[in-house]
Amino acid sequence: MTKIEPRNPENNPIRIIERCRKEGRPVFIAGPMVRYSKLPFRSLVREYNTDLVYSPMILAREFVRNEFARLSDFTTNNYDTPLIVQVGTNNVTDLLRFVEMIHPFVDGIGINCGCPIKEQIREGIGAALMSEPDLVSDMVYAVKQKYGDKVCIETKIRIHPDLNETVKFVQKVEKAGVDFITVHGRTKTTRSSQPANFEAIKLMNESVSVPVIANGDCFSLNDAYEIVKKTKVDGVMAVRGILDNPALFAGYEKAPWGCIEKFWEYSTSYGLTYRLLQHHLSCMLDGRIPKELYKEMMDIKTLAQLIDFFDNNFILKRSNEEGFGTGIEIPFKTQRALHI
Amino acid sequence: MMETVHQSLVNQLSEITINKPTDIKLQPQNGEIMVKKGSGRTKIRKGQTDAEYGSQKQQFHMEGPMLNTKTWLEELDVSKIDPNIKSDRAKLESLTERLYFKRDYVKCLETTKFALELFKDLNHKKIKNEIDELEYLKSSCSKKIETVQ
Ligand SMILES: Cc1cc2nc3c(=O)[nH]c(=O)nc-3n(C[C@H](O)[C@H](O)[C@H](O)COP(=O)(O)O)c2cc1C
Repeated sequence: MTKIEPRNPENNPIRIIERCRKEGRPVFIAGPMVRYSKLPFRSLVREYNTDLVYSPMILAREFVRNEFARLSDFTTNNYDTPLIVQVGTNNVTDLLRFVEMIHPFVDGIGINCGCPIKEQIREGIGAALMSEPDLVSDMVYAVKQKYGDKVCIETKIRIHPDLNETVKFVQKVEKAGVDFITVHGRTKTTRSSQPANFEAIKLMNESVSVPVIANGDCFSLNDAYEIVKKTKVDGVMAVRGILDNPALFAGYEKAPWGCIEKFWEYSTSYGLTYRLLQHHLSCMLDGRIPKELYKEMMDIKTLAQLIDFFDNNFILKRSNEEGFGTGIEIPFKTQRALHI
Repeated sequence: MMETVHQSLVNQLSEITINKPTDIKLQPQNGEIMVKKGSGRTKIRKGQTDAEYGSQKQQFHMEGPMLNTKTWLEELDVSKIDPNIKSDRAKLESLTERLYFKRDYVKCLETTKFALELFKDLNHKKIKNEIDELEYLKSSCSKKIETVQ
């Protein structure tokens, strides 16, 4: 049976940030997505210049109490690194237990202080923590007290309508020992269609000395550099952008075909629920294939049929075939498909 | 795959609904916590004793996280699959899908037939999608093998 290997200290997020600083470039990060940042997707983005990858938010409460939750929420392997596991929690005890159990299998732990989903906010999880700076500091402090440099801890926050409150917040968690902070430049009620506030991110970066990562509206490599120019932060986290284009940080404008081939390979070998696989492929192909073909794809009910759909309409290479994973344009098989 | 099982367990997690939060003394050292329900009422999320946590920790320490390597599906011991467990059935199906994807139609057909046999006494209405996919694979693999011969 395969055993999981000890973590490589070089993959500690702080080491990565330091390395990128030396190289004079930002750290490129694929942020957390409930449902979607599963193992096959994490493996895929690492092939395209992504330095650091998050898991979806995992609820500490369930993880420490329930074996089924652990099995369904966290699958990994020896190549799943650098990895930050993101945790949803509302108290020190659950967090400490979660960290104790999971830290040997990850490179860092991030506390979600940004999730705006009502059900989580009612539980005091996610964005609810933005009004609880003392609790967040207590949680960070408890982990750092116990583990010191052995566990890298991050908080992913949103901004407040009054930025002074956010400044106090970041300074407080910095004092508690946080290793770095990701700032999503929106308040908990700002819609994602509204632009992220980079001025606010810049201000947070100026208010602390720990590294800050900017999150919001990074849809291309160019955006990443622009965001760094505006905010002067150490790194950029992409989420919706990298879901549509996992090769974003490698400079591709759209998901290259090879990326789609690799995703198929990872998903079928590691295993991925059909609906998730279908959703990922739909994000990567939306607006790039004829509408009726897209609709046909979305109506497919099983993975086996989706394989045939791909083989009938495109040239989908397998990993043992020459040129696998290297294509850029969509290799349509039929004339019909040429017209979008 | 395991989401339904997980969800039902989560729902069973004991919740005590109360109206007067001030009457209650929480035990935060156990992770016990008060939360607000949509209705505005308050509810206590039960804590976890050291002993309860200890046994969870030990299980995870012994078995570790679920490891999905490139070959784990093909290395599955299919004789250990329990058709009554959804996540077990899912593993077998993922294996058939993987073999089909790799165009190993002979092995895929063999595994598909094995799965259909294993699932034959289950309520097919409840697992319609799973059975539909297996039937599809069976017929498609048979055709593809015939074409080659
Ligand atoms: C599908 C989806 C799932 C998300 N899940 C999480 C999550 O688990 N944890 C979290 O902190 N944020 C989550 N978010 C928010 C993103 O991490 C990110 O903060 C937000 O999308 C802004 O970044 P973007 O403009 O690059 O998309 C999610 C966003 C999306 C679109």
